Amino acid sequence: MKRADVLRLFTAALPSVVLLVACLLPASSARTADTLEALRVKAEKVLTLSADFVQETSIPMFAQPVRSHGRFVFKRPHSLRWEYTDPVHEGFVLNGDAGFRWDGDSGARKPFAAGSDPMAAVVVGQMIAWISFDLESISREYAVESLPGREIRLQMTPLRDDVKGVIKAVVITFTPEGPASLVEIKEAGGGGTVIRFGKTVVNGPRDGREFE
Amino acid sequence: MPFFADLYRVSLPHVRLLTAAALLLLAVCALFDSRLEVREDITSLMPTEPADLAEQFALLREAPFTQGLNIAVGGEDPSRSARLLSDALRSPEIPRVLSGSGRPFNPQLLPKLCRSIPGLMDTEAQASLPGRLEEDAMRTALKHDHDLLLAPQGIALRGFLAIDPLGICAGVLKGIAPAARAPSVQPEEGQILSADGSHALVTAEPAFSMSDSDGASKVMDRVRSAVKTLPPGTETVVVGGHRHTEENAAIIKEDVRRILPVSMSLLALAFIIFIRTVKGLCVLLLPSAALLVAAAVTSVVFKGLSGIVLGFGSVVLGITADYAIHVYYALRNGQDAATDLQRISGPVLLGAGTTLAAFAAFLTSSIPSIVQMTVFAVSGLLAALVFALWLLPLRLGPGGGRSAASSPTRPMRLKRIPPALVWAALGIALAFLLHSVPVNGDIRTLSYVSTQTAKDETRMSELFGGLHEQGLYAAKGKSLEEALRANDRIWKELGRVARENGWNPAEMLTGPAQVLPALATQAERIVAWRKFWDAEARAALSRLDSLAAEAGFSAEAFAPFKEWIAAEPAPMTPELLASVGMETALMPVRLSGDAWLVYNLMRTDKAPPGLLQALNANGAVLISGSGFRTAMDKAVRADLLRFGGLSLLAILAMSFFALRSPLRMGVALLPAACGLACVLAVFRLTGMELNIFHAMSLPLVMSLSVDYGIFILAYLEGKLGKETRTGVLLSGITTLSGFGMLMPARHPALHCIGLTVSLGLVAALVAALVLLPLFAGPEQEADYA
Repeated sequence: MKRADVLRLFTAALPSVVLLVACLLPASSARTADTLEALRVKAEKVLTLSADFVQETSIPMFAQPVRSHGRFVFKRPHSLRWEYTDPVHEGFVLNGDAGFRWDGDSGARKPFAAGSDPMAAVVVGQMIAWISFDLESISREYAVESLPGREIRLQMTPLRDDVKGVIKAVVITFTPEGPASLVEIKEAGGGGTVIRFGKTVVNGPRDGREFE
Repeated sequence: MPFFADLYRVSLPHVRLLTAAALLLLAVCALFDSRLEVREDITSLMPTEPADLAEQFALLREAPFTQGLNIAVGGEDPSRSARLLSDALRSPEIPRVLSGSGRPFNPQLLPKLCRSIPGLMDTEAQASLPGRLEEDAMRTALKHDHDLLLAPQGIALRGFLAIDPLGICAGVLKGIAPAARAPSVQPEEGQILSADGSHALVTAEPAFSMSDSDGASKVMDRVRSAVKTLPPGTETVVVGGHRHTEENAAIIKEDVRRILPVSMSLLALAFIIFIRTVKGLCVLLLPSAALLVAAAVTSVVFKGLSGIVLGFGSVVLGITADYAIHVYYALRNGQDAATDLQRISGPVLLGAGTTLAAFAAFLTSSIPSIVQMTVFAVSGLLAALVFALWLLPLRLGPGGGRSAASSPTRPMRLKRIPPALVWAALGIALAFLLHSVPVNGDIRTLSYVSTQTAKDETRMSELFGGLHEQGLYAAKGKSLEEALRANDRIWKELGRVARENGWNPAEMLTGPAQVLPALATQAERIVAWRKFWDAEARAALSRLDSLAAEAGFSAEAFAPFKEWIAAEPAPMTPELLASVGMETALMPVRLSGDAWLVYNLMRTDKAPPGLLQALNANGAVLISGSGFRTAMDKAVRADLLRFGGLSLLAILAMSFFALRSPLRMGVALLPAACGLACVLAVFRLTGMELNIFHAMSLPLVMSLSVDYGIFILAYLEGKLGKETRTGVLLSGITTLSGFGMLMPARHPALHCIGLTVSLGLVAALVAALVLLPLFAGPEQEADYA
């Protein structure tokens, strides 16, 4: 029995989207509203995006913080590959409303559709909202504000009670050049996850094989 | 016995008083009629016998998604559109709107759900517990938990994995997932989505019954205005009984609006050509008077009346004009009104008697609308008979307002051979036709369905279908607990039979037994759960601590799991299901009157025969779409055969009683046989199927045609004058001006009645006016005198 399959039926993939968005959003020093609008305009110009990441998970359930590595690739309009390479081997690919997932234990690829998998549906819905920078949708789910400091940092606080019960806040730090360099997910139950991005490539050539 | 002549003479001095009394009676009837509740309910066309068919139909009516309106909403964000539409629909017209929980599933609620998991664990699930506590299984589970906690979705599952590190809850949840949602749909964001995720489903349960045409119209107005609140371009597909009712009521009104003026014009034309007197207007008023009485009597006998019956019955009462026409022609010869009345009363009574006898046979039908129609028609016919033979002659008076017409003809001898030959040919033809004309018992063909509605129903089936290979059964009980217990018992038995046949029960059955067992069932399982952990907890938890540390978990990581197995489980209840956003799992549980029904789905395409036997042995019946239609077809056929056959026998018996001669019967019934043969021949040649309205019209054709035969026979035998032929012709024209105009109607019921009766009457009329006189010989004496 694959418990993950069951669990996925009841879970949201919001965090993965947050991570992706963090990489998609270039920075701005303007006020929050102006910043968001500027981000939307700039995000429209992003056709492909890829990056490696290092994730550090520090939660009360783990005896020690756990570090994992991975990478993601995005291609407009609806293609996304998100995978972990160390210490686990698992991930998923989405092409529009359909895709497949795999894990290192079996190596088997399992197809899924957004319509039949709530997780995928949430991913696709959130993707569209964030990539197109649908301010109406974003502002319905989060309160977004710029944090003071030399670096460009956006803090997103969930508005929905059910999300608040899981995530306290998400803080994204942007590089002056554009894409995000750091994402901190502060969890409501204590601890959190920090993801550092590197080797980011914007609008690099993509042959699409990552999504097959 | 000159009864009617005496009655005429006695009543003549009191004509004003009697007229006033009649008008008063009609006024009282009109008062009753104003309170008549007219319904558009196709269920009144459902046979109530056999009992199991009626029970199946009742269960189908109460089944989830069959009540009210189902609305599929598309657009860029179907879930949001469904929420918008639900809010806009809620109103006094539609007090209840179901579109899922209205909120997304919250993973934080999973721990709450876990508290009730022990009560949901059947024997098989409990048998898997020891395996989950083995060292290798624990190690694998913990590795999985660790990986999942690192993945993005793991953030939302921290609490759940802490309480369920070994997958005990997850295993049960996986098993009940199909029960928590309808087939071919997916719960997402609290909404029910189509399999492709493109549409959300909203179910509206209106305050008005779908049989209430005015209410249905208000409901559909509300739906239309709610749909307008959706973003432009959002696809909406609306299906349901209220839409059918509104559509059918509208099309009937449109048909009547188109037909009535033409029909009235034809009647007026016939009046101008054949009658042309002021007093003769009474002839045209008689059917209206009969209609008032019939509607009043029916409203007293039945609380409500089907709109179809009212329409059909009203047209049937058009035949009452025939009695008035014959009385009018008999009286207008200007001799002695009492004598003339006495002379015409015999054929009129015989004609009315056969019609009434034919209709009385309809009372044996198990189809409520036919019984209603019979009461309507019989009461109207009796009223018309009284008016025609008592009040009408008093108002017409001697001469009927016109100069003398012909006297009765000389008696003529009937030829024996030609009628016998014609009957022999007709008998063979009828036997062949009755055997070969196909019958269609599907009541769905009796309603008008617009092209758009048909398209929408097909679209809805594509989006939320998937039930074609599924049958439905329901467990019943006087209380929810009793119904759930019955459901558990059937579920367990079916599962056993499925396994014995090598089938996985989960692939065969879908129902709430897994997600909402009876409290008694849950109590038994909770006892077993406690017993298991009392024996195993100490060793299992020690093993878990050791392996969790090895896998990198903190010492307190699974404290919630330890608390869970130590705590007293909470039974699963409808309230708890609703509180965790699983309202869709409750849709199969319905309260119908005083009984609770718990619906389940069973695959019918591959079901082993033993499954059906087990179901029946437990007092439940499997209802599938195809099976139900077959049973319906059989029941309608049986009903048609019964009341059609009895109607025919009644006509024959009445004719024999009145005519007392095979030869005279042969002549009088020949137009009826010709009418029947003509209808069946047209159906046979065109390949049309005989539905219930066609079939209801056949005895009508016979009883009307017998009247023609009786009057022409009376003329041939010298009892009536030559004007009888004109009277029969005028009767035919007035009847056809009503029924014939129904042929172009768009509503199937009106069209079917119009077509059948018109075909039959034209043939019968030709037979009566052209064929019957050929059987008369020139002799001076009749053999009956």
